[in-house]
Amino acid sequence: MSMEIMTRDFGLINVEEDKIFNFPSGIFAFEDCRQFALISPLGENVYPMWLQSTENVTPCFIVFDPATIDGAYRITLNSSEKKLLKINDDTNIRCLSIAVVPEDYKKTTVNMKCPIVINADERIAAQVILPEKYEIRLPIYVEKGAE
Amino acid sequence: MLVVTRKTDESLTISDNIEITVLEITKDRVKIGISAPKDIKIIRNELRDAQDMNKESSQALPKAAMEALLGIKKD
Repeated sequence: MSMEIMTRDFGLINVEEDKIFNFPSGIFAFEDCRQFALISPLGENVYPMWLQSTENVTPCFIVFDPATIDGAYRITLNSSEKKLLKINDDTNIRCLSIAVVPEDYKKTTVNMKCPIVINADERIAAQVILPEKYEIRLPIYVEKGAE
Repeated sequence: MLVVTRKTDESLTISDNIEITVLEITKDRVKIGISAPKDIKIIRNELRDAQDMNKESSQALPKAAMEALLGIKKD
């Protein structure tokens, strides 16, 4: 099964069902947007990916994998978040960090504090605010020798 | 910034109709109770920051950034 969706950056595309996620409470500031498709224009499993609303051309977010940015990335979910996401001890979880990409992409920052947490088995997702001390605007393209 | 020191169960009032009470203090967190009229919007700052960042992020991707992103190959 696949779904045809109009995207912000790539026109009309076909998205496989396993790349479509339901957000029962939306995303912060976009609480009405309940379904998004995860698009990988750079290739399967290559970040950044595009998290595109399936209902409208916007919102659309550029997302990175926080675990590849910080190898020690760990998240703690509270009981209501676990309930919303139907997460138990055996659930496969993945996280996405929303990026702000300015004109000069080297100044891109990602939100490590408020990841999108996905129950990969049920394809349910939600954005959470972690109790852990993570940056809300972490620069990711810090060059060596740069200040 | 006005700094006021309060103990557990002590409170303070802002503008006659907003009452803030310190309910519990532990090592690294404090539980605060807020009594305010319904039209007063109360939001955790990190949620506000996340909303702002999402709004920023959802805006159109600058063309130069788009080209750069699509040109990036993972090592």
